[in-house]
Amino acid sequence: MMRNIYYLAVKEFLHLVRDRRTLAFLLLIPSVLTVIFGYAIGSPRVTGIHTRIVDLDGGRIAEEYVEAIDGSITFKPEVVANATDADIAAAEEALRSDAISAFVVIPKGLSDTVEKGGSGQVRAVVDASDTFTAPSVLRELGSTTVQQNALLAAERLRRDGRASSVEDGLKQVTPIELDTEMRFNPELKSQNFVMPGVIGLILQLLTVIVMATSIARERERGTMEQLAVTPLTPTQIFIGKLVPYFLLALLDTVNVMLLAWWLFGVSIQGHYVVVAALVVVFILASLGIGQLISVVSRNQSQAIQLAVFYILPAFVLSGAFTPIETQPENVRPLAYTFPLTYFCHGFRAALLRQATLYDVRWDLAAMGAFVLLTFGASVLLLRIRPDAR
Amino acid sequence: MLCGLLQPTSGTASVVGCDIRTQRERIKHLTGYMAQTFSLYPDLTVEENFRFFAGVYGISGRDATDRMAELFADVELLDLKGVQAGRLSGGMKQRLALACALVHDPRLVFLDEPTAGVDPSQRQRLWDFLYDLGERGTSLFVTTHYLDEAERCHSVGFMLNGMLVAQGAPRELRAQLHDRLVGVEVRRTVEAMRALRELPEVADVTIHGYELRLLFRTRVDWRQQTERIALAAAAAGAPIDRVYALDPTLEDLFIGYARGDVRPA
Repeated sequence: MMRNIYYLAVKEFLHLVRDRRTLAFLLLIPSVLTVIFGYAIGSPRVTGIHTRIVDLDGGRIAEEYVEAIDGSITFKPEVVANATDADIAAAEEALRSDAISAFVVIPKGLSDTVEKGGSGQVRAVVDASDTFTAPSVLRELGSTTVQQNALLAAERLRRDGRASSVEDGLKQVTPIELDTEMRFNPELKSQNFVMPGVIGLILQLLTVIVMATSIARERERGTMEQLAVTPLTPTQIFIGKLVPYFLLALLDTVNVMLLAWWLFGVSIQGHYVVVAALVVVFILASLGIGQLISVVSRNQSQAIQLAVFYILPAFVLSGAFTPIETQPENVRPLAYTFPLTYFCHGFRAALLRQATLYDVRWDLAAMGAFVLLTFGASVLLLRIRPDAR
Repeated sequence: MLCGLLQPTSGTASVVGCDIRTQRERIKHLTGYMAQTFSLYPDLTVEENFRFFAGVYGISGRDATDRMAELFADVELLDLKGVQAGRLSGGMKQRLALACALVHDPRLVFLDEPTAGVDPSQRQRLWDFLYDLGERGTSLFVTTHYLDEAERCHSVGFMLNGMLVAQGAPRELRAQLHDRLVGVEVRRTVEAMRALRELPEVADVTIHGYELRLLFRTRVDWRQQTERIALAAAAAGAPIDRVYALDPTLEDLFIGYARGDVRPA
């Protein structure tokens, strides 16, 4: 059983080597795309950012500040009232596991201090690994704070309207100081966000197209008929066909990551095992989709068309370049029909936030489901119509 | 279906002693299949193609090398091992396809129009090899549209509209047309054919160059028909040169079946 798979794999390798143009394409395109996309992607506006407000104070000033944040469409805040220090630790963990993109800590006694004419510090911690959301968070929190300060300053002016010095006056008109901390990607380097998407896109492009033509080509040449009369089972045919492309995709991944590191300084901050697991499962899922396309296609051109039809929406919707939060709410669910979405999500977490296998378990499970579904469907279809043309 | 690819919807059949409903995997091991169109990998060399199919049937290493030496010597491909299969001529491709179909020494080989698109001398070489194979105990199951090919087989079955209408040795089958075929040599064949088709006792007329082949509804003595034929043709402005007895071919028989002029025995 393993023996004949080996021979099928060898044969597929020979096809690869024989077809120089395709091989060159497969090896060159990833580098070209990495360079182009790495430089080219900009930042649109983000709304509905998951933000947690840890309110240790609970006074009037805190309440008004929270209301101001709540009123902004940039945020989708969850407020922890009567919070304790344990809630700060919980928020840190939520930030790491990507449940939230930022959290704000309102210190105990803020209201008292401000009411007595002093000033207090509100702390904001932002996940900077997403270079689209982080600047929005900063901008919006900044303007919220300025606005609240203006209101409070006006209140003070009405009450006594005096300052002993310029510093004192400045202190009086900025009762709330905003102290921000950037986590995971403090320089807000956009490549750190974009590169996982680029890698995912490239891998998807290669694997889906290459695999989509594999069975379709055999059908077109009439060799599927010859394969069908051999003792090779559909499962064996799929595994044998997959092996060379799987290895090629791995090689491409290493290529692109080295280039990303060399040109843009993007390096793996997290666990290599997690990155490897995500890459392997993602490649398998994409190969599976390619295989399914191949089985339902009559010939190669059909297969390629189908593949493009699959790849293009994935390109736009999966959050490869812009967070899926930048998309309108009604198309967001579509994103979850692409393995690429889970890959980008998991890969970003693994690259910068030291995600563990447990943290990315849902991403792995979703992609794993794609692997099982696509291969299962392909085998079934091929069994029903071995050489349908 | 006979190759073990498809499950029959009803009925059953047995191939090399295996039930096609339940022993499809075994059938795949015991039979070989050579497709009508060249269905090997054109970008792989002759040797790589062979080794792939050998490997798929579980023959590897020395065994594959030995088997290749043996089969390539038989089909005369030894000198072409390193050539990409796509560059071979039609006859060479067929011989390679045959070698690949025989790699696992099957007891039965299905050949789907094995000599389609192959020139006559190459065709003869292929048949020589097929007879040799038959001598050594391998059964050959050939489908063809060329009835001169069918004449070479030991047993022939006629398929018409998906039904097996006749089966037997070519000689027995041809005997059905004994004394029913009469040859007519004539210049203006089309006019003569039209005129002779009008004769009530003539079932069908086909043109072969300057020869008309007349199929009679019943057995006749061609000498007694000469005058009638000559008169009918002359009336149509197509004077005949000669009338003679014809040896029936399988093609005559098949056309007879197809047009309903000959009732399968």
